[in-house]
Amino acid sequence: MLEPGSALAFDEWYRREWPRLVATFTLASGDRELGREIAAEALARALERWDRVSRMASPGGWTYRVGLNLLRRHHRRVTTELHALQAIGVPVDPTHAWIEDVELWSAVAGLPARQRAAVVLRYAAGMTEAEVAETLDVAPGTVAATLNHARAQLRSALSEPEGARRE
Amino acid sequence: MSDLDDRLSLLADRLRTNDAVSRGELDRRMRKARRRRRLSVGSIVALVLVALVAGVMSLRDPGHARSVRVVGPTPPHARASQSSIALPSTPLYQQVAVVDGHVQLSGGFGNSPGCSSTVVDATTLRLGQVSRSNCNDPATQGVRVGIVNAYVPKSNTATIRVARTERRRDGFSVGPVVMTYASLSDTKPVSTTAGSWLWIYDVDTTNGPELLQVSAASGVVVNTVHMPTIYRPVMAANDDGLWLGPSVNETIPPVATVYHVSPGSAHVTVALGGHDWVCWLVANGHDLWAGTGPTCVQQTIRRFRGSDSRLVFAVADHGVEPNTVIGNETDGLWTMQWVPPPSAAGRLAVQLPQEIVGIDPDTGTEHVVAHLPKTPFTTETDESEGLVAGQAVYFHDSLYLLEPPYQPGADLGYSTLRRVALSN
Repeated sequence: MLEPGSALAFDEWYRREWPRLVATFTLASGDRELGREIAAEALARALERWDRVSRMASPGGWTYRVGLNLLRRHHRRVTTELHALQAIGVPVDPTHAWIEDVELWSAVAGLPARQRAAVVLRYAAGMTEAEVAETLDVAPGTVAATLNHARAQLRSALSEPEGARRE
Repeated sequence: MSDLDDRLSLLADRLRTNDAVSRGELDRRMRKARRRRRLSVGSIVALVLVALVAGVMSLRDPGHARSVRVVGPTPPHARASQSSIALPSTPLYQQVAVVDGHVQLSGGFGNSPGCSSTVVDATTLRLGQVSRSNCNDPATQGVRVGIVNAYVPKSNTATIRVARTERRRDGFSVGPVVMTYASLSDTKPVSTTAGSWLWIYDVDTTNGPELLQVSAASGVVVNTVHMPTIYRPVMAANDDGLWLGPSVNETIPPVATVYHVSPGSAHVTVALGGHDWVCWLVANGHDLWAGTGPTCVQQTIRRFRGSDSRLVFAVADHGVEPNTVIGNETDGLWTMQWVPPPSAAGRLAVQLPQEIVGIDPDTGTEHVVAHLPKTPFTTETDESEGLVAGQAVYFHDSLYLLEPPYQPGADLGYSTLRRVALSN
């Protein structure tokens, strides 16, 4: 059973983490509802183990790791449901009208799984490369290389010149 | 900062929303996860106890040891021959089925649209040419009629249409909306086909809990039945109609265990009373096999016959804890289990063996028929579910199994197709 203090801490923590979690899993899954579902389920797992998770160096990192694993399981079990979103001739929001930057959204969705995970943790979860490395259980150098590859692929997909900078 | 970094950050910002789920919703999910975990832990305890008893008995009577099995006697084909092939990462395969007399794998292409399918040479396991098709085409899943989910933009509403194979046109058609439901975390429409009918159920339609009986030939709804509230149903259909009950993941206490709706009937009847959960259902012809219990560790395996749900047998499960069972009277009933069922209690990156278990359709007796190589079980968030839908199929005295569920370095798709020959 949770201590009263722990419960309060969890409430504060999860409400603070929610926006980043839902953004991360939405971008990782390419599906708004699924992203929300994964975020909620990952938080429920964290709540269940809050005594232990709250004492971790990074409760958030643990939760993101759980969420990515949940997403992997979901893809395994409900692939047809995901594919239904790509239906032809059926109003399933195929253009992702709720996304402003559809071109980038599609480019991220086209990244290999590992690169996509690194990108969403880096940009949507707002993690440092070291935190991404810890979450994905790989070396920091691997994350840097993976992100470089991902950026190169995204630039290629977006036809953005290498090293382009904003004025 | 580059344009790309800016755009990524902006995209992420747009996706951040403050409409967090309620604490009550998280509490409910947590209770459900705990219930699943208790089942897993309970099954390990049960297996250990049974194994200890078996060990003690074998010490007292060495001649008895061979006859003491956790899940019943081992038939001659326990040493079933096995062969396997590695599956490619492109396309990714997520389901095996028997289609038009062939073993067929189907899946997707990862991040590009469309579904893939290929026929497997049953002798060599060699994969045939890859076909790309629309994922809504029921033929991709090896059926002639299916449902198409569509989410209404900027809402929690979703719709279901019926897709039918149009053999004359060598394609398929999608009909009008037949069901509108609230797409929430607690709702998930389920469907199944048998004979001339497609059955569709959801708990939160615009008309409340509702079952549709749809003609597989025309796609027309021929019957609508108001149903009991079941958030997480297990469903199966045969010539006598539709059978469903609350799964172990159900969120409200069950009022009855298995319900039945006959084709054309406007009413639902109770086929099996009590307040148990349904662990699995297999329906075929005029038979229904069901694993039910207060938990799936304490299952009772039953066979019913006919539309009046006449009980043929009821026997206790002996530690197999089936999650999904495939088969029928002719082919036998089959499931797969982890050994032991992995609990979430700190099992990280372990590899565990699996067993193929046969369930005698005439008696409910369980027996191990094959042992499979160890398979990675990646994290503590994976649950001991054993066989899942679409993972295995029985064909010509062999089981064709997909495992493990991940490609090296990737997320989706099985990486091995294994054939377990069950005849000597």
